[in-house]
Parts: sequence; structure tokens; C-alpha cells
Amino acid sequence: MGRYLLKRLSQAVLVVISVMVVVFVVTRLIGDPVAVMLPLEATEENRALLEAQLGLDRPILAQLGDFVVDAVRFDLGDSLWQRRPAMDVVLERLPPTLVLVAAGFAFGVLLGVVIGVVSGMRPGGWVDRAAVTLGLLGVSLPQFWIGLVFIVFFSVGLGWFPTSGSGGIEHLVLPAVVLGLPVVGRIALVTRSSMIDELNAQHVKDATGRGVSRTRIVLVHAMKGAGIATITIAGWELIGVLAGGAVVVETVYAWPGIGFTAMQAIERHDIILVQAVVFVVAIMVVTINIIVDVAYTMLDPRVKFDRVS
Amino acid sequence: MNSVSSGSRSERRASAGRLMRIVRDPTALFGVLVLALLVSAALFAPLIAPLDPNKQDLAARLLPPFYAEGGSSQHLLGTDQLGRDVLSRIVHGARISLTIPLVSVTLAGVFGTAVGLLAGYRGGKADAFIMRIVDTLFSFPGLLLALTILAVVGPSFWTLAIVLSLRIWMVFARMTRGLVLSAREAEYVEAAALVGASPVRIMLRHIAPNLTAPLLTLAVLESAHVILSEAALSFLGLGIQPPQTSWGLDVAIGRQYVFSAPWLIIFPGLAIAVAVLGINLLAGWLRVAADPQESAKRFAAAADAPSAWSG
Repeated sequence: MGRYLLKRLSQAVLVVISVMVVVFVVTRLIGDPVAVMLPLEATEENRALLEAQLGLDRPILAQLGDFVVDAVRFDLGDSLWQRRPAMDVVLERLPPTLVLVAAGFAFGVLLGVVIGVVSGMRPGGWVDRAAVTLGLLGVSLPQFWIGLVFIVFFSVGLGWFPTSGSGGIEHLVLPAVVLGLPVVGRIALVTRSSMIDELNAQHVKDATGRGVSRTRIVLVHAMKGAGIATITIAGWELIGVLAGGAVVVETVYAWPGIGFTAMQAIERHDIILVQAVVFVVAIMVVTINIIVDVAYTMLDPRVKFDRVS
Repeated sequence: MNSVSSGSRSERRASAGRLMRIVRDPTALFGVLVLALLVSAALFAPLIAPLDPNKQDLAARLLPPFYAEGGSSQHLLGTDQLGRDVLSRIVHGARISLTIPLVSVTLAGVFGTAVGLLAGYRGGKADAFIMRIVDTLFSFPGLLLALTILAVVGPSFWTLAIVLSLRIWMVFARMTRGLVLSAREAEYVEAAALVGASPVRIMLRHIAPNLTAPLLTLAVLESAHVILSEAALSFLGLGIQPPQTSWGLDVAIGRQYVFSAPWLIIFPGLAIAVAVLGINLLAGWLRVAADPQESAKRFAAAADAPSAWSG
């Protein structure tokens, strides 16, 4: 277990470093960071000054080395917009994102599992058809659009929730639900599918033959098998929510997290702050991957630590 | 998904039977009809659209749709803040919103399949190396990285198409590799190798037929993902740029008028939703049709394939 974790951790560090190398290559080699950051009316002197300030006048490999070493030390440079360390800005904006992601993800997984289990118990029935339709809608509707439609309907029309911003729990409801909707859809479809497989599996049929109650069969025997598939998908969903959904939903609702910050930084041409957000999200993504792998290994005795690479 | 067959005549007959079955499956039929409608809208946009999508008419600004008070049959879905016809913009928007997935999925599919074939057939160190890269890319923070790249490189049709294909080629590589590995172990493939068939012949004659159905299903499914990503990126201002039109871009424009003119966001968004739903229904049906085991679950649709994806 210890050796396995160590191996996974070193892989994770490699992933984060390669994300940062990609960001570096894109910003320094394909793009022109100085041109992006400077206003249109900037002079040659402004340009030279900023280049020197950012160390862009030095050899490219030296820049790459410094960039990676600094990133490993959690030093991404000063945000041009806020004029203080970019990491400080990101860490300050991280808690709202974590609250939103936790709420949206919990909503998505809980509702998704319930819908999946209930519809998987009687495939083809009307409950099942309704659930599958709902699941399909969840994965087909664009999140930013649902977010705006909810604002039109629930905030403007019914006046139940504020249109945007943060504060009490009433600010959290709409963004969390919108963030969780695709999760509900996918988790429901996957849970349903593996539920049907499990209920048809021999060990479950044996249990039925032994006279185990239906409730117990569904909740204990079938859920155990279906749970593994659900956890794998849930890990993917959490990553999607963090690295994609949160940016979109935070922007729609002006939720002051790191996704909204990234969009503000892009508008203000603050590449350094954007890089810091990418860095922190990359770290969270690899951490989730490790947690999912470990959970998976613990739940499924057929998977051995040394076999997972 | 892993059903191995040699692509024989009986399979071809089965696929003709499948075409008949799509007519009998109402959800799949719905998906196909919706897609046919949208594709013809894209192909014949200038003929179908009632007005020029970029023609401004400041006298007719922010007119509501036909069903609302003040709406007219001249602008069925109303007009935007510059007096442009919303319906015409949606019809024309279909062109870009459907071309982007076509281009991105083709690029990603061709490249990913080639890489997957190489890894699966070569095996050994080449396979280990390629799959390590693929695994690493799966751990990349998808949409956020795409945003960063587009912000630096500058958004345009082609940068958008390429960035989106960079996000999904690994899915094709991974699936192709898996299919090649399982097909290689099939007895008829081993038999072909024993009687001295060349690797190229084995690849094309015996392994490739097993790849087409699952890879096509995957391509359909991934195009739904690409439509959603293009829409999200265009909505965030880093996708399609004016004067080009796309559904996501139109929602972004309408956002400023969300309180006074909600139809500006509702209809373009509905177009995205209907397109993605149609594709998901078709992909779900394709998967079920290709796999008899799945037929029992029938309704169990596409979306549970893990992907590098969300948003």
C-alpha cells in the first residue's frame, strides 16, 4: 500500500509538471504573453520593461526551468491585475469554489444514485422511462443555459433566489443544482445500468433463492457491485465539475470562486493569475484521481495494488 | 462493445435489419429526425432562414416572439438588441455549431485511432509509452486548460476546432487499443497469423472490421460533447467570434438582456439542447444495436462512457 501510494504520488507530480510545461509552451512559444498583457498603446520601452520584469529576455530553457522550479515551490509570480502573489489570490478564492463544488457534487451523486437504483429495479416501467429521460436531459442540456433559464424562472419570475453573487445558503442553491445536473444524469444512467446487471447476476439470484428480502437484496447485494461502477464515474464527474462546470457556473452566477477568477483574469489579460488557477486545479485533479484509485482498490478485492499502474 | 466478429456477410445483413429497427424505436427515430432537421438547416441556411442573420434593423429592436404580446409573424422568435432576427440567427448558427464537432471529431478520431492501432498492435515499450501519455492527458484539467490556451493563442474557428480535438483524441486511442488487444487474441486472428497472413492484411481484413461499429458510436457520442464544449467556450467569449454566429455565442449576447428579453437566450440554448439530445439518443441506440447484451437494457443510453470531459 505504501509503495503503491508513493508510486501514484510521483506520477501525480509528473502530471502536474506536464500540465505546467504545456501551459508554458503555449504561453511563451505559441502566444506572445507580453503582447497579450500590455495595452494596445504600449511603447517599445513598456514592452522591454515588462519582458525584463517577467524574465522573458532570458534563454527559453532557463525560463522553463525557473518556471517549473518556482511552480513546485508554489510561487507562480505576481498577478498583474491584483499586484500581489497570484497564489495568494487563488487560495483566497478557493473556499467558495470548494463549497460550491461540494454542494453540487453531493446533490448530483445522491440524487443520481437514488434515481439509478429505483429505475434499475424495474427496467422498462414508467418510473424507469421517466428517470432515463431525466438522465438524458441532464447530460444534454448546456449548463450555462440552464443556469440562465433558472435565473429567468426562479429568480426573476418567482423571486425565490437571488440572481447572482454569494452570501447565505439562498445564493448557493441555484448554482449548486446547475453544477450537479449533468452529474445526476450520468450517475443515474450508470447506476441504473450496473444495477440491472447486478440484479441479474448469479450471486443475487442465489440470495433471492435463499429467501433474502427484496429490500436487502437491492440495498446490500446489488449496491455492492453497482457501487464500484458508480464510484469510478463519480471520480470522473468530480474532476469534470472542478475543471469545467465550476468555471461556467461561477461565471453565470458571479460566484466568487477560482473559476470566476480565471475568467476575470482572462478578461484583464492576467496570464500569471490564470496559470496559478490551472496549477491549483491540476493539483486537485490528480489528488482526486489518487483517492478514486485507492477507493476502487479497497472496494474491489479483485484489483490488486500492484496491478494498477 | 467488445464483441468480436470477422465482419462477415451475415453481419452486413444484420446491419440492414438494424436500419429497419431504427424506425421502430421511437426515441432513436426522434434523434435521427432532429439531427436530419438541424443538418438540413445548416446545409440550406440561406434558403430556410427568413432573413439575413446579420441584417440590423434598429427600428425593430428587442421584439418579442410571435406568441407574446407585441410579437409578429415577421420575426417568429423575436429580434435581438440590434434588431436581428433570432430564428435566422439560429438557422445560420447551425452551420458553425455542427461544423465544429464534425471537424474536431474527425481530427481526433483519425489521430486517436492511428495512435491506438500503433499501441495495440506493437505492444511492448511503444504501447507502454503511448498509454502513459494518454493516461497523463486524461488527468489534465480539460475545459480550464482549453480556456487558457484559447486566451493566449486567440480564439477562432480553427484554434477552437483543434483545441477541442486535442481534448478528445485520447478517448479514441484508448478504445482502439482495447479493441485491437481483444481482437488479436481471437482464434481466427491467431489462425490467420499461423497460415502466414501479413500483419497489414491481418490488420485490415481481420481486426479493422471489429473497430468500425464501436468507433463510430464513440464518434457520435463525442460530437455531443464537442457541441457542448464549443457552446460553453463561445458563451465564455473564447470560442466563435462575431460576426460569425454560433448558438453559444448568441446565448452570451442575450445574457445582458436576460431580464428584459429572455427569448434571446432561450431559443439558441434550446437549439443546443435539442442537437445534443438528438445525438445522445442516436448514440445510445447505436450502442444498443451493436451489442445484443445491451438490448435488454434498451433505454440505457449513451452518456455513461467516461471521457475527458464536462462543461
